[in-house]
Amino acid sequence: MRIYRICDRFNSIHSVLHFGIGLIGSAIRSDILQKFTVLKEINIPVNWLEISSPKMTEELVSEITDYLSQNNSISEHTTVIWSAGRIGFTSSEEVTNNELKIFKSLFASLEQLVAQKYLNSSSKFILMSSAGGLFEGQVNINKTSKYNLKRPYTRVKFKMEETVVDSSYFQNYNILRISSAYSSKSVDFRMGLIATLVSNGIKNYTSTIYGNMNTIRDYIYDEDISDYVVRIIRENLKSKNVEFLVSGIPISIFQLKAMVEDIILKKIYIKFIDSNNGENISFLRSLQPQGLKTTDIKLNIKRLYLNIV
Amino acid sequence: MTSSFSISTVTPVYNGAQYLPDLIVELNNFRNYLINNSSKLRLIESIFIVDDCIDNSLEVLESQKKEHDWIKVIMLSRNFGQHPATAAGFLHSSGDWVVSLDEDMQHHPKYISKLLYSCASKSSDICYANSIDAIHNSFIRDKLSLVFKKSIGFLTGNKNVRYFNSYRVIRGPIARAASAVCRHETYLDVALSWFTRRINFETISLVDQRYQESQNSGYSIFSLFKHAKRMIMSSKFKFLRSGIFIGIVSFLISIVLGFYSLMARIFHFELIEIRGWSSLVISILFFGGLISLMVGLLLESVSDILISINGKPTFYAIDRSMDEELKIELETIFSDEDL
Repeated sequence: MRIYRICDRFNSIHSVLHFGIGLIGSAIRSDILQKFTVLKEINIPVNWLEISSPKMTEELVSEITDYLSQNNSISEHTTVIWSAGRIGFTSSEEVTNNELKIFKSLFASLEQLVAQKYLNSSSKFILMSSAGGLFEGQVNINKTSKYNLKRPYTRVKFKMEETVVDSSYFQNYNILRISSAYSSKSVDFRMGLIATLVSNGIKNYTSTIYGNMNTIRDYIYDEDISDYVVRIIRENLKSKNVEFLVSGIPISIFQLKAMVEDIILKKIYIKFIDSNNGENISFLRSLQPQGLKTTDIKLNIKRLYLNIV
Repeated sequence: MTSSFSISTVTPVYNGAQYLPDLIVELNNFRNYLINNSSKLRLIESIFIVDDCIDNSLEVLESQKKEHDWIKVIMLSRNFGQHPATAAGFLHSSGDWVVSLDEDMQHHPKYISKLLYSCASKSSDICYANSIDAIHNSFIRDKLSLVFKKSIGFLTGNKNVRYFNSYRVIRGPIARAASAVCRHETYLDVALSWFTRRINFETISLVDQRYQESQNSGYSIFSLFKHAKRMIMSSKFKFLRSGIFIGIVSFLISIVLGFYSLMARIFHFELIEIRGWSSLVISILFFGGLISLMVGLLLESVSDILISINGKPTFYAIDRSMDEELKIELETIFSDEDL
């Protein structure tokens, strides 16, 4: 977990409490470091496997409280970003429930910080949620589409959203429903489909895919997400928004395969395994919030390739 | 497994502002008909690819988009041509079935059910519309089109060339896969036939209203030549095989003649009245045949490499298990006349 004390171009000071530096979290962190003057960055190591213990939560909240009281944060704008989480589409009920417990416990602690006036009540909470998970198995998802919560993972994401929406302490929030995120950075943890295809393609390894080559998905670049998050922090608007960060371009696995082969100039090998993870999911471009800039996937795959080699 | 069937339509737009409102009305009628009959079949989107228009098509589409949320407009950065624009549309589609149709009402949406039924009932992957009447109502223009298609079919060895038409219903995954491998010089229909041989056609009435009104075809001789080049370059050159065949025959004849001449020279020297000609002819046949054979094999290899670079897949998997259910659904929703 990280805390940033930042200053924007109008010399206005903000604090950002950032939970989770994974794929999206790393992109958000590097965008914050690039686009703001960072006055202070505090790294609080968190073991997410142990955080469910009350003692660990207490310690974490105590460190946050110390920071907030030292910096008189009640008089400043603070943004809380929740990009933490280890669960995925195939996670079990037990694992997802544990993550929900951690989230609820920390969220309640943050609400207490608002109640105790360590945090301003106009502070904003940004939650990363799952667009594909909430509307699984549907194509051309639009504002009128109905939820389809088929898995423990999606039910937990939905409950997290409910927790934020129902909060009487956080007056402002942005719930960002993200489609399949990918990065152009070479990472060793939780590699997405695109990174796996490129990395294995270079090494002539076979990639295993749970689905089939016609499965359609929507892919969003991690830096497009972070750019939008930075925009939210910078604009600092009072809002209660649920937004879809999607590209609006349906892409099949076969198309991805062709793109990757084009870029790495090699044939890639894929093993398909039948699973219940192969349903099509696509979104209408009109769902994109104003200000979201999506970049070309082929260009980003090329960047990823160059980073790997 | 889904029990509903989605359709996407794709229309490349260049210069058809005056026809677009009518087309959208017809598409909306088709869409509403399915909704009103509680069909499992849905027209989920109509994608219009604006290929750097020279008229106000974009404005027309933008205003229509405000009324119909199922309309998607994609603007290309410059004029890329009909096939790249259609491929771009396919790549933005999500439907189980994708229909491509022209902007100028030459392809009436009322025939979508007929083309789709043809695919479902025959479990085929592509159905092209084939005109009952002369499309352009011009003897020369229509005959030229026929001769062109036959010649290209002969040169490329692709018997489906005669069916090729921009009004087509394609199984969604195949449309997207073929578009994914398309290069700027790939002929889209040739790319489609790399993924399936299950191609059929349905005879319907197609009238090129724009040509009949203005006598102005979208094709000049130059663009027709480019069209042919693109089709040949995307296909395997069948005629190269004739080169190889001629080379082999010529080479074998030279061997037989050479043996005969040698025998005649040894045993019946008196038979050869004029000396020198036989060795000259045999040499020409031998080396000519050999060169033809080598060049033919070389070009065949180059052709294979080109097609591989163009993206022809080694294999492609497809699921046709829902075709019977789709057929029944179409029979329930539409009358016999519509199918």
